[in-house]
Amino acid sequence: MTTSVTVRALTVRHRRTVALNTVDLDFRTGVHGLLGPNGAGKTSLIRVLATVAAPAAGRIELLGRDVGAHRERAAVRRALGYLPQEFGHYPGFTVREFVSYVAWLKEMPAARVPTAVERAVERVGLADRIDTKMKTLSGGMVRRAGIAQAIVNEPELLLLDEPTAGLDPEQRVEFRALLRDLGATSTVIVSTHLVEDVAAACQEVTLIESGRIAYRGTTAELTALGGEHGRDSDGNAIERGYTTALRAHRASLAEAAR
Amino acid sequence: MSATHGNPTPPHGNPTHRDGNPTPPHGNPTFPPLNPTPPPVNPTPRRGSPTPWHVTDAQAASYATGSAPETDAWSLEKHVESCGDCAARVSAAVRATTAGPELAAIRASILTAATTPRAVTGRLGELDARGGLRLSARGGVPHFAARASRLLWAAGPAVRGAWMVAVVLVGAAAVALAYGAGYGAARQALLAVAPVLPLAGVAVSYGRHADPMYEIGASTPSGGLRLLLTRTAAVLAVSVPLLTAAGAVLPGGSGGPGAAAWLLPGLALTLATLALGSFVGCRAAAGTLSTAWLLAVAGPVVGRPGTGSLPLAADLVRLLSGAAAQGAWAAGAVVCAGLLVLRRRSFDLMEPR
Amino acid sequence: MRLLRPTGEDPDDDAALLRAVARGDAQALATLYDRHSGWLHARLTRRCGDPETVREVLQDTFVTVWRSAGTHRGGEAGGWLWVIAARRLVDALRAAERTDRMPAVAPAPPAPSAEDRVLAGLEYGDVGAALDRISPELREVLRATVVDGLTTRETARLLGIPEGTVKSRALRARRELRAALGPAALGGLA
Repeated sequence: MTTSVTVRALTVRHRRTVALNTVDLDFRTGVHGLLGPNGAGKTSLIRVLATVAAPAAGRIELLGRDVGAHRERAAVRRALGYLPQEFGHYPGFTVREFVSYVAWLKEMPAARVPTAVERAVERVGLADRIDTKMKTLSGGMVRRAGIAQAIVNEPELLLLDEPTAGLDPEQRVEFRALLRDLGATSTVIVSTHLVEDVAAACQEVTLIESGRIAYRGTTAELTALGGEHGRDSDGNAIERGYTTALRAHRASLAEAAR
Repeated sequence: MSATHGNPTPPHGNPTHRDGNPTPPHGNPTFPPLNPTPPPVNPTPRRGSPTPWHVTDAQAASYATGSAPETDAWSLEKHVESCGDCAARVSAAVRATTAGPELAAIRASILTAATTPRAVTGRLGELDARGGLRLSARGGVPHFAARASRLLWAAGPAVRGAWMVAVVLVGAAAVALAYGAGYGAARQALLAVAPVLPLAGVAVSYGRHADPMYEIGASTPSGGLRLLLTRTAAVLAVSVPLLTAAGAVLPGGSGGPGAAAWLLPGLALTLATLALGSFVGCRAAAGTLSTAWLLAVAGPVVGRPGTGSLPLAADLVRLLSGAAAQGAWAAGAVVCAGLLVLRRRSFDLMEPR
Repeated sequence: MRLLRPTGEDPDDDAALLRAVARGDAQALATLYDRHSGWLHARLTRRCGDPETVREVLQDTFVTVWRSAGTHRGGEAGGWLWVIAARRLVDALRAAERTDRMPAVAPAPPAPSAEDRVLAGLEYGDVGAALDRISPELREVLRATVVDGLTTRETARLLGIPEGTVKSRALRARRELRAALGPAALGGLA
């Protein structure tokens, strides 16, 4: 299986502050969780991978193409799905129009759009609202419509920034099942600050703290870090693992600083 | 769900299984007895390595009927994952069994689903008991309607929103002033305002401030310059005929600029907005250039209050009339277009905050 | 979505077919179906006793292929098809039992080196005899994890047993295999 995301020495700046500091990362097919405290650099990473923001330094290769070159970037974008943390929509659009519009922006063959739109909307559980105007939807439904636009082109690389925000617990469970399904054929990168999202849906975890990679491993490994006494169904083990990994990272930084 | 399905045969029960194996450990076509030594061939990863044997017709038939022993089945299953010829052979053998008609039925419904644009809100691929696609009562959106509405989306927020109203209002107000209030310089006033209306249209059509879907669009192949040009074209397609027609029905006065005199300045300023917008964002560019234009037109009027409409007309004449002025606007438009071509890649990423 | 098309390539080659399917060529889908549907059907039938579910899963698999052939990233088409079919089967079985709650942890798949050793052995027959000696419930766990490439959680769903049982049976199966084969044959298999 090929590596679909390769990031080398990536540095991202927001005005004066450094959001990501010389980060190296690789992602392959499957569901990957980006965990970290708020402001750790998760969104910066997602936005750079979504090709909407430019890095200050470093090399990014997506789906085997260098996104620095225009032609390559366009090819990557056709195979990309992106859900920003906060996104807008045209309130007068129906869900169908909203998703179809993004399908058009993604240059999907026109003949396939109607089917793909209905499929995407069905997968996020909004089939009964497909012809409802966006402005009448609840926050959770808008978020789900956002997920539908991200997956309408069956992306090879799917980037979701806090996709579970605003979803109720039952919708979260359904959404995680959808993630797993998508991860069978695509590379899915999900940023979240909820450890339970990662525990339930992701195969691998990348922990980001203050613009650096604090931990990388499988979900099982992070859980194991939380102590063996936690059973499979015990969500606390992975939370302990998260805290342990974070502390170990901070301790090693403090060590290095001395 | 169970592994016990069709595995009645004891070990070594399938003497034909290893036929065709070029490296049988003991030259024995059956399973070798328990072998305490490693196999003579290096255990390389299964994918991509040369496969040491192929599925025989007998093996395919025994697998197809479900009578192959479990371990023989495993070998075959891993093998057909990477060998198209054997996959076809086994598939043909399965079609020859009682599963044949069912496979044909599934084939038909998959191809139907693939070739028919779907008008179903339910899950694609759902089957009723007879294997036909279940269709919902509700029909889908016809293709031409979808295409028409897609044009409207491309046109963007401006053409559907407040800007459109503003353009119509400006045109209508000029006509009302001229014929309702008898205002003599209505065309001049319209010509003074007309060139900045497309700029306003661009400003409210594209960019992080104007387009709520800007960030989603920025991650798509069409979200950059292509979308900007599409929307600019839509803005011009609406404003040019409306404003020119409004100007044409107004009394021109003697020696004043014609109703079409604003077109080249309008185009030049629009292209300048796009070019400048590649550096500072479209809203800031449109604001800067609109202010500059309005100052050039109205500044002298503000400086000499109480002199009526004549100075405005005079400044407009200076800016719009004559081959020299129009030629300068045309040259400006060409320069801005050239600059825009040079800067085209800058719209690939999101514009500066 | 592949970049280069090697010259002189057989147009009916699986990879070429998938590219054609990605372009919306229904004829290519039919050819692909004819080549692979039979063995997929038989393989699903060996793992699921309910013909209705098998039919749904097979149909769903090819509908997925039609939709997302563009996401195929090289590799063996047959193996890719099976990944889709196996996941669909697990999902279908999960949907069937509504009571199933989402477990908190997705376990890592078994170590690939162990898989490869068992499979390499399979190809040459030395493991086959040993496998035939271990009990059917251990064998079905091995089949799901090793042959079908499912994770522990997916295996648990497919077989309808708890994940802990999957893990312990996988361990036992390997231990028994190792015992049957002798330390030299599968020394690293643990």
